[in-house]
Parts: sequence; structure tokens; C-alpha cells
Amino acid sequence: MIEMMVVVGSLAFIFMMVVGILINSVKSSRKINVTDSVEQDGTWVIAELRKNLLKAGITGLNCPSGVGSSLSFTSRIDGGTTYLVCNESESLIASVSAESAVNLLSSEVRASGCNNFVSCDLSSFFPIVNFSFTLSKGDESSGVENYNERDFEATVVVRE
Amino acid sequence: MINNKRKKGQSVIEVVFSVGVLVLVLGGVTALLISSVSGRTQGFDRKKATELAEVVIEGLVAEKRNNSDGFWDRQNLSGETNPSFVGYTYNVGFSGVDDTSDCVGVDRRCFYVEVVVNWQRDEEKSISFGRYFTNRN
Repeated sequence: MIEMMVVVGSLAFIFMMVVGILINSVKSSRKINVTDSVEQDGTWVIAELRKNLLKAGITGLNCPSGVGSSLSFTSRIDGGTTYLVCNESESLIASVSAESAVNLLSSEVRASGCNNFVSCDLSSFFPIVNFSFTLSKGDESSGVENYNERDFEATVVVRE
Repeated sequence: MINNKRKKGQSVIEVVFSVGVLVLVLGGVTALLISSVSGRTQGFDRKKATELAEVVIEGLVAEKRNNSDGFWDRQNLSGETNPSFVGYTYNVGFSGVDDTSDCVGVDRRCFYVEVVVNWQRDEEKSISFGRYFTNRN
């Protein structure tokens, strides 16, 4: 009888431990996946914004007064106009030109804080463009492990 | 009778032993999982530190282009912060490399700039980036 109790108690203890480890492992895995998506998209958006602005000409740069949700520039390479846009209602950050409109975010990642997306320091000859945006993925109400949100910042100097 | 009693005693010891082994194995698995999650978290911290360094270096590029004379008189910075990167501090070291073989030419100025970003996660962490500046580009 005592042996049965010891065995059952031990098995119950081990079972609880295994279940606990599995649950925490699944939660951690979900959190990491969500965080990873947000990080990857943020890094990609910053790289694309930088790449776009490095081909911008100073004269064709059209910044919002103060802060805003978009800017446009004229390319030094082909003379085309490109708009860099953050749209909170459509939840996208996009590069829009005559040829194409490219959403820089993957389908499940949402953009917010678009009112402060871009600001320019035009006080000096080479304009300094500051980008700021928030990306999130998942549903906050379904638990912390299913949701991640992070602010991103980037600065780009228009070269020529 | 004596043999039966011995068998009973042995089975309890066996159960205790196997539970001990299982707990040890599960402890190892848990430690591995924690270490894996911690590794990923450190990767995210490092990514954010890289973004801060990019912002700092781009600021220096702007300064070099817009205030070229003042830029070459820059002094080292220590313990600087950026409000958008809470928990991170950075140092900037300017090493003049004028008149070296890497920096030859009339009125040519050169700097090697090192940005070191520090943050705390269990222990002090840091990451450093270097960039070469010259008044010829």
C-alpha cells in the first residue's frame, strides 16, 4: 500500500513536471516566434527605408512640416518620385512609386504610431530624416506569449 | 519470508532511484530550454543595440557632412543615452589617424570612430562598431 502511494505520488509529481515544462516550452516558443517576426520586419523596413533614401536627391525631398506619416523624394538615378508611407488604418509601411507599391511588412505584422513616422531636420545642407514606428504582431487579449510590440527608430542622412 | 521482505524493500529503493534519475533528466531539459530562450532574448537585445549604433553613426555622418570643420575637433563621448533606447548607453571614441599610411594627402583628415553600446541583461553586455571617416568622401 505504501509502495503504491509512493509510486503513484512520484508518477503524479513527474507528470506535473513534464506538463509544466511542455506548457512553458510551448509558451516560450510562441513568444519567440512572434518576437522574431516583429524584429525581422522592423530590421527589413529600416534597411529598405535607408536604401530608398540613399538614392534620394536633396532638391526633390518633400518632408512633412514637423512630423507626419509620409514623405516623398525624387530619385537621383531615374528621376522618379517615390513615397514612403506609414498607414495605420491599413496597417502598412510602404514604398510607393509610379511602377509599384510595395508593402514592406509581412501579412501578420501591423504598423502603428504612424503620426510620428517621419520628421526631417532641414536646418543644414544635407537633410537628416528620422523615422519612428511601432510594429506589433498577435492579439494582446490572447495572452502575452501570443503578442509582441516594439518601437523602431532610424536616422538617414540624404547624401547628395 | 525473508526473501519476500527483501524484495519489498528493494522496490521502494528502485522507485526512489528512478524518480531521482527522471528528476535529473527533466532538470537538464528545463535548463536547456531556459538557456535556449535566454539565447534568443540576448539576440533581440543585440539587434536593438545594433540599431542604436546605426542611429549614432548616421548622426556622425550627418555632422561630418553638415559641420565638417567642427566634426574633426570631436572629443570622446561616454555614458550617452537615447530616449528611444531605454536601458542602453553608448560611448563614442574618436581616434585620429591623420598622417598615417591610411590617411595621406594635403589637408586630408581621418578619424577612426568606435561606437560601443552597453546594456544590462543578467550581466553587463556590450557590442562595438567601428567606422572610418575621412574628409575625402
